[in-house]
Amino acid sequence: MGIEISGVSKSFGKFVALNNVHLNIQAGELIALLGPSGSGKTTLLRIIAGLESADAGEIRLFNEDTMNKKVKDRMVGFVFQHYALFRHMTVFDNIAFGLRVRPRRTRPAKTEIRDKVFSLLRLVQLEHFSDHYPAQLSGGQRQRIALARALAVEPKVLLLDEPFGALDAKVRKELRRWLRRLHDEIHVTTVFVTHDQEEALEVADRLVIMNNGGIEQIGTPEDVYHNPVNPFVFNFLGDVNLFRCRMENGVPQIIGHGSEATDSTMSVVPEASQVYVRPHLFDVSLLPNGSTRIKGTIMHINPAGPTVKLELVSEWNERIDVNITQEKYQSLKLNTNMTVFLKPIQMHSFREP
Amino acid sequence: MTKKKKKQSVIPGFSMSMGLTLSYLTLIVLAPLSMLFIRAAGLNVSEIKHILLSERTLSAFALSFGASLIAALINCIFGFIVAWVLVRYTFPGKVFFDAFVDLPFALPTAVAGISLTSLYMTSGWIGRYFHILGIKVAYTRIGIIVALTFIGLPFVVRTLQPVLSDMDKQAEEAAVSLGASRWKTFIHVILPEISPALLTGFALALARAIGEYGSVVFISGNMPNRTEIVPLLIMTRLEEYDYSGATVIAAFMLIVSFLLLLMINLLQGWGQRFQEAEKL
Amino acid sequence: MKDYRSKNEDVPVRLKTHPLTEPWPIRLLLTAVAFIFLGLFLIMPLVIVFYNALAEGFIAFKNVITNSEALSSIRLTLIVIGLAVPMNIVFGILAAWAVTKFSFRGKQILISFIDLPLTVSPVISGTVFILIFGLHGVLGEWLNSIHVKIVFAVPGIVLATIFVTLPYVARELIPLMQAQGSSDEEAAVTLGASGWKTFFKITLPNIKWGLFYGVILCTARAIGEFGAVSVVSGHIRGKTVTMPLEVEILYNEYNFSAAFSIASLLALLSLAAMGLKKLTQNKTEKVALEHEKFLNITGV
Repeated sequence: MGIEISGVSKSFGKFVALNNVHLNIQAGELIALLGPSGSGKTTLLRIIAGLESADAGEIRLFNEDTMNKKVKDRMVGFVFQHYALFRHMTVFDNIAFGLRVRPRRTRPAKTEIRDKVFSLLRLVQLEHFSDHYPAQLSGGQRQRIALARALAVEPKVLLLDEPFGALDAKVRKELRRWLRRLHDEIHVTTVFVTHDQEEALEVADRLVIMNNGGIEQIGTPEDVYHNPVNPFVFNFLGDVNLFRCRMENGVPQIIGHGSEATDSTMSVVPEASQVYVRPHLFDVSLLPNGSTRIKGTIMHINPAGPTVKLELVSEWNERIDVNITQEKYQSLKLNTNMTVFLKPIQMHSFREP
Repeated sequence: MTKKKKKQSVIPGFSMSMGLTLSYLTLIVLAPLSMLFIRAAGLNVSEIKHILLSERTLSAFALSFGASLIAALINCIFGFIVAWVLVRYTFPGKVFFDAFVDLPFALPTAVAGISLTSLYMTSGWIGRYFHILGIKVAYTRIGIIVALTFIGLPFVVRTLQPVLSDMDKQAEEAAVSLGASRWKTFIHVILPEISPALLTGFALALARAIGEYGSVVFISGNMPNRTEIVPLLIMTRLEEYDYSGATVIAAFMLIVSFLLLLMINLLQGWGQRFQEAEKL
Repeated sequence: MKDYRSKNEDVPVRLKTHPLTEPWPIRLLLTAVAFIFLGLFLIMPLVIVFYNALAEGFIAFKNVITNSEALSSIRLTLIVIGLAVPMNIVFGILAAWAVTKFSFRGKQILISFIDLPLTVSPVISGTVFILIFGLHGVLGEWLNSIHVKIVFAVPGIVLATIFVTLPYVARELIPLMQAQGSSDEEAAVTLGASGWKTFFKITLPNIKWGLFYGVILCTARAIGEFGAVSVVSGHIRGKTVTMPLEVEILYNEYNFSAAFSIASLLALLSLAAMGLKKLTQNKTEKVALEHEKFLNITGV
């Protein structure tokens, strides 16, 4: 077992950041802690690193209790959102730092440190930057140096706190793919914190979705995306439309529209009073089609991007977001103020507490 | 670019405010100060040499710069500890102590001079304990260092405080997570980060100490060649109506302090080279 | 976790020390060092001023501060600040206006010239006025012929004080007005307000706390100035002796408790200045950051 977290709680004054969290992470896994801000994900990461101490519970790293272990003896590599590079040191000195501060008997020889730093620079593809100061690098380059610095001490666990949060969209995308490939290469147990669901779904082996200091769901990206356990997870992983409904013979009737989607894939619990539909899971037609009776007027169309985003208002004044393909948009010749009919292709509902 | 903008500014009063500022500054500061150099330039070289190279002048300069340097170094060490404790720790009465750091700015130097003297003379509250150890503080060079330390203290503390409280905690966290001990983190991460501010504080304390008169004159004993600082020597020359002597010594002291400040400024620029790159 | 506790009864179960602070013995040591240092160098000198002032009882203290020489030194100090401070307030506002509302070549040089008196030894500041107005000075003979006395008289003391305290208001206002920018004034002017109206209605309310702060510093320094004033004063009791000079004279006459009595009045004034500073600090907090950056650039 890589990391065992059991019963960890932490409060800052009256604010409960973590409430009795249990989580097991396998050695070699790449785990994403995903959640909105204030959900406790960063606090959990910092507790694993030892930068914060838990009020209760324990953390075991590779079957060793960490409670009395100082940060410097935990063998964790930590990467910060704002890089936290030492700005008065060159790239080389930054990466070598963790090796140079070791006590004399465990400190590697100078040539060994040099070889190690350059092999890491090759790994992060910044070999020619060893003499630069952090201020002379771009954000993406700085974060890769921060990662190389963390890896230099050969940590058993690599922890990344919103590593791409401060970068612009394009660099973010590049870097997260690069992180995935890097992990496939070096296989160090990795936990990273993010609030970007796309990033988590793309990079992680497993996702841990957090909210209000607790864990909502743990699973593979596919699992959590297709089988969210509650509305929070469903909501957090993408846009949704919410409809009130009534069950008739196990078939949800959307109140006000009477829509039944008998031919659509459904995961609907019998006693639900609300159903959720993702914007891209509607079939849009100009004429009523079978039993589908969600009738809406197009208020706004945004055709820029891979899909066309429609903003509709139903006859009961509910706002509905619908995404359709460009082809569909062309073939229907949609315009604002047109009335269209919607059939949910897939509906989700959850047991209500 | 500057000229264009001046024309574009819609705010009135440029010529008036600028004109009055320059005239006032010239009348009060620049013209009187340049008097010093004009007067010194009127003397012949051998005269200047004779004044500057006399034993009394040289020992006064050595004492002024030496004592100021030591006092500024003491302030760097203890000022750093004070600033660190005030920023990083919490303890009762912190606000009170923090406010008190400004005392040497606010307290008239003559008051500081007489109170330090009465504290540190051999019968004084503190001086008597030094006396037991066989150390005489007041009326010796040690006394001068004490007075100059008092004067310079707020400069170091007040320049370090904002830097310490704004400092990025993450760099420290990164260092610990990489296995650095607290001591190594301090030496390799914190110290380089605050060293430009420490240097500024040092320079300010030094500059202030070199020119200081009021607090030193009471505690120093004022023995020529032994405990006579440069400002006091200038004062003595004036009282002897030796205007040439006073002028030359004053002009030389001014030049040396400017050079010192310039050097420290350059050193500071070099110390901050890794930050400058960010602006490019 | 339970057996963990029992195994290590003598060590704290949780890390008592946050990773970003020092172990408690070091913390205690540093705090103690800071306390002792501040105690020896700041608190004790202040305490002994009041102790010595009242050493011979309150009646003696009262007699000292109400005798004619003490009163005349208080009067002279008030005259000096009454003249020097307003002059430097006007200068400070004008200089800050010129520096912050307009762009021109050599702005940095102008700012360093304004700061110049801070780096000049007070004794030198006094000396330059002797060189100009003294009997052997440039204007000495001419002044003597028309029977005008500047040095070793009140005008010289005022001049020297103006010189020494010149930067204080300006250097408080410049960073403040720089941080505030000139968009408010530009708006007012484009709306048709005159220059003076813009200044009194827009600028002054924006800078009033910074101005107040600068005035406190300027006044405190003016009251306490010793070196420069000492050079130009001539030490004529009852005529050209300010409060700090009165302290010096009494002290040199070995009249210690009298010297400390006057000194205690000065110390009270500086405590009041520090208190006022603390009070206005919160008001100016908004620009404090900018201000500190400025401090680091220009010194002092």
